Amino acid sequence: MIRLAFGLFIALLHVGAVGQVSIDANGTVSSTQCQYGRGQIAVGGARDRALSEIADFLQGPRLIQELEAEDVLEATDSSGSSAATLLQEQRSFLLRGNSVDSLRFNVSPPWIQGNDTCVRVDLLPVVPDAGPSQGDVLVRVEVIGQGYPSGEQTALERAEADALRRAVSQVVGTWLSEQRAESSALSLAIENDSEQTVMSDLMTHHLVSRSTGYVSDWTLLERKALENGGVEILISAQVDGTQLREQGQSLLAELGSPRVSVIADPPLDALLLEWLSAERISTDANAPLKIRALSNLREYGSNRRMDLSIEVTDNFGNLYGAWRNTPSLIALPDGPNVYQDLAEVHLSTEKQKASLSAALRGAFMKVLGQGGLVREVQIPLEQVDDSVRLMTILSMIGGVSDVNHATVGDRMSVQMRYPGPTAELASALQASLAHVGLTTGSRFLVISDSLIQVQ
Amino acid sequence: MQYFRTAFLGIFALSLCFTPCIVLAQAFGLSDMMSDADSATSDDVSSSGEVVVAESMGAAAQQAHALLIAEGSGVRLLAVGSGTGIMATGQSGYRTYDNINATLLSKRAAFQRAGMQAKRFLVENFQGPDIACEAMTDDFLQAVDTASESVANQVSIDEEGCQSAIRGALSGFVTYQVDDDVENKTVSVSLISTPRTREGITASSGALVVSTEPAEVFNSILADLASGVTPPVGARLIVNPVSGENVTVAFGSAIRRQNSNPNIRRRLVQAADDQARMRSQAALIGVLQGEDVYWSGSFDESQVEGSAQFEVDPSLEAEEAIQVLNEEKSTFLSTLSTQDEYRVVQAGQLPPGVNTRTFASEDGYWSFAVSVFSPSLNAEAVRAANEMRAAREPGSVGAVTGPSGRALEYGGPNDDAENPQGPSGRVSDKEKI
Repeated sequence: MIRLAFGLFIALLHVGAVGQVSIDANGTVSSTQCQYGRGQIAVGGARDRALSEIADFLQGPRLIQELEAEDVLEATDSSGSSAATLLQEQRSFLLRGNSVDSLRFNVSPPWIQGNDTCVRVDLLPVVPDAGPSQGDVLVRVEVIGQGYPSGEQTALERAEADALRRAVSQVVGTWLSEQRAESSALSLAIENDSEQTVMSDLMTHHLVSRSTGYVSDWTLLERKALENGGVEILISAQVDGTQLREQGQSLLAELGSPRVSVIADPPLDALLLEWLSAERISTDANAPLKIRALSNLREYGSNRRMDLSIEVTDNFGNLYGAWRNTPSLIALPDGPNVYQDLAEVHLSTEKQKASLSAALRGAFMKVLGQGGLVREVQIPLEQVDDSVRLMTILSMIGGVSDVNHATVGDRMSVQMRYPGPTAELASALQASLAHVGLTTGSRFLVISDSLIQVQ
Repeated sequence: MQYFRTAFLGIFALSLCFTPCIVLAQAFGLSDMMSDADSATSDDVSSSGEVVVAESMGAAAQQAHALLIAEGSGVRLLAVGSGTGIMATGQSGYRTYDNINATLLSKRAAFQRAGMQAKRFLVENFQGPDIACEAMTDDFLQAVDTASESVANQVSIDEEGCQSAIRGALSGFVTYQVDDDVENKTVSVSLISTPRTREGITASSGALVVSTEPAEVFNSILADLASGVTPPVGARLIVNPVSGENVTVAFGSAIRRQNSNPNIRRRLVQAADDQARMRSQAALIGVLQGEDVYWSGSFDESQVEGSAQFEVDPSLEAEEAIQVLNEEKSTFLSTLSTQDEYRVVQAGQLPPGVNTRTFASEDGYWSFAVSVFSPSLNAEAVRAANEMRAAREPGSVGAVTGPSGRALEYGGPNDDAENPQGPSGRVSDKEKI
């Protein structure tokens, strides 16, 4: 029987190799996946499954499997009777997580296969500075988009949105984080002639794909009608590529915190806020990433010079970057406005501004490089049976790194890094920990950008 | 037997399974594997106690497996001229029910349990269990003698209890054969570890880079896989005949639950594929990086046996309290309590280049997954990942183309229920283990 099944296996392999990663002669990694249904949701589902396959191939997922079995047999025999009970319990828990960023890919036009919609995703080879582009900032790509009328949107509008999404995913890339977990339990109880069996399975799947980019300009090149009122278009799109990735707002979005807070005395605070605004970075007093400025006036006879330092830290005291001005750049005569004048001069010279910008961007990159912002998860101790096992499981969640914990009062405080929004982490935790009984009847509440509480 | 056990332990202490896993360069050539086991006569294979001695590993494995299946479960050492192997077989029963899903789930759980039992035997044979036993015997004798009569009551109480535990790390083994005996509703899983499997798996996870088209790797293993059964648990080792590359293949399985609603059924199939996929990846971690195996077993047995020729009535005076029974009264009560606990943990990160494929069994009841790892696939994945990482560097962006209901029914076991034959047969080629 199984040999025949294997025949089917081989047959499937030759029919488009659905469901596995393949590599062509040019070294292009690709995967073809299908999803039941029609339309954008089915296309997106098939695309995400294919991306998940490719992500697993590029970077093996973290995985833990626990299998447990217990048998208890009790038998009693007397001179006139015999009785026995058997209790068999079997449990398994499997958690698998992966997180990959900068996946640049091209999605084929979808095709129908039975009730499924299928797409092929090709990981794009990197060809530096190929094709017509403006410097190394803007990248022009030609992409195909398809759309069908739905609700208030016309087919053309949906085709345009599809094409623009493809343009961004090709140039900027996609961050993909996936968690899968399953837990199974089987219980068999036999007491003499009475028997009871209970089986249960729980599966959770949490997949997030995110692509952030900016299409500065696009032109319609071709348009043709499809069946069922659909439209296919070919556009030439200009995407803000590398530069956009380096810009503060994009980085912060990737870090999962859309804002930073500024801690500085006037007039430094106003000057920094102005600079952040120019960089399209929003500010919030409660943001987990802090930009702290310290200044000091030095006396040089009747003149004054300014020592200015700026640090980027988080709520947990981690230092990601520091910048110091060049005090010798300028000295001004002492006076009532000397502090403000010196600050303005130091933050307005092109060299100093460029140096500060580079330092802050470097700090943001460092946060990203370390695995994202630190988040604290507070769990009531009464819900934690085995802290070592809990830490192991948390470490397996895709994207999570640097997990450590401490006991604070009646709570376990777990700190971890995650390269996405806090709400997304809470959702991933909820999905994964439901299998180990931690979240039975519990909720993961996002208290702030850096704090999640289990209640 | 002691000689072989000692020799075996000497080799395995260095090469089998214990972290960090060290593999000796075995003097075990390809020619050792090429002898035709099927031609081995009974004269070529001899069995003594736990050891099977043969000319080739294939012949020894075949004989050991036959012995283990006959016994139900256990372990055998395989001794050939240039190396020592070990085979362990676990066995477990399952139930059949009116609900086919329940039957299949019970069967898969049995395969899993049998696999855990076999792993326990492997670890147990290597290091031996920690055992603590306690036994107690109490005898009570009460005799009454008068001038004319003598009567006595006697009670013996025997109690015995043992606790045993094993903990170890296991790697370098593959699945030799799985069987589903649908008549007796039992399944068995046989695992084998030989110098070749241990060395091969280490080599496949090493830094060896073979210039092989990755698609060919898959194609070559397909042909090899077709020669054996796809087991619901475990792994096997395949050697690419063209390149000589070692390819490790791990298996996973899940039940495709049946449902009358086609949409739910479709979703259940997808869920089963995902489950099988995850399980095969977990199995691959277990083979490549090792897995922790824990077993503890205990039993308590007590027996009370006695005979009484008189009874004492406490309400009467001493002289009259003793009532001689007309017939001697015998008592017997025995209680036995046993407990077995298994725990197997696989944890880690898969290396790049693992390719997983899911497919259905012919009868459509099972989802199978094979996760394949080879040095050449690994090299391709590392290359692609490096390209991807390089693209993150500033300035490297390049242009690219391209409502009403009823209560759930609870049924009991049904011995006559549908019971599709589960995977049965040889998994690993006996000539290549």
